Amino acid sequence: MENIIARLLQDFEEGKMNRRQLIRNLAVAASGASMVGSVPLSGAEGTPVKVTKINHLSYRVANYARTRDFYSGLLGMKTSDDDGKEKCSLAIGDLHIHVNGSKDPLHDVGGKSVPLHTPYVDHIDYDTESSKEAIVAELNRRGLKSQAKGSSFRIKDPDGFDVTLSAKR
Amino acid sequence: MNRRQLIRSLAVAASAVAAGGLTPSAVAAGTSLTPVGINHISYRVANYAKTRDFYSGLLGMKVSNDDGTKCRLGVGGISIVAQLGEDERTRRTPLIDHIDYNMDNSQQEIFAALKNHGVVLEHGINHPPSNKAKAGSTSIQVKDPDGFHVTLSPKK
Repeated sequence: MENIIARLLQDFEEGKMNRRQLIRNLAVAASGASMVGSVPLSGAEGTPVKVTKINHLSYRVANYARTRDFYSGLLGMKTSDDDGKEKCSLAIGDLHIHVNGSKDPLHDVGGKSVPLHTPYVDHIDYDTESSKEAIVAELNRRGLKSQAKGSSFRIKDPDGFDVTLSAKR
Repeated sequence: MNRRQLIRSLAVAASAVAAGGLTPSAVAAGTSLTPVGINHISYRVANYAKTRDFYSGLLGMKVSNDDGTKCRLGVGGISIVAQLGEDERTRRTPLIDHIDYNMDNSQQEIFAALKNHGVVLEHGINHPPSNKAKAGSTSIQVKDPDGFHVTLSPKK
């Protein structure tokens, strides 16, 4: 807890947050600690959602066949789920790169539709040891917005990268 | 080629596709390299500490090589390397700078395969021109057809 407060104060002193944000974050830290004992907002002390491995990376590209041929041709990656139109999966060990051709001219960024520029890594998907309910509870506790799709939850990391968390099956 | 060679080549290509699911271009290009896994995914971010705390705090990823400016975040044998951009391109954050593959090939084999596939070597930020690799670095950097930076780390 002290580490969290020290970090918050340091951010405040360095001008990374204003007084109102400091107060709010201290309040959230205090309420979080009172609810779950001494679970911190961040840091290695608490690991409520335990990821086991990266399941796949999702690529958005202009021409999926060109990407497929490069990775299968040069790197020998095994192609699967190739629909012959716009997507396929490329395997390296037990990790996959999902390649999706861009069909939408617009992309949703923070609720706004902006022109789609390829290539980009759409998201990275993590397998977890946590149940669906545990993931929901932890995301709510941290105030992280998510989009649920089955047992997978899509969130944004602090930099804006999309991350999906797949619940244990 | 003559008619007989044409028939033979077509038969070889057809059997390879049927047997291994290889793409026609892969068959035509010949040699493939052998990646054994992804070593790391390089993130360029505005504040590496914020990224570190998110992935270690929420997802329990193991922090290593934290030097106060960058760190590695481990999960299942793969690392995400979080660091600030070093030039105009990589300061545009957030950015996945490159994905590094561990290869089961020697540096010479990789160079030969790249040449065979017509893939041009790239200059990198962490990885200098690959044919003039700095001491201790054997990684070879290329761009995939979409422009993603890919580094290939030869077998040691």
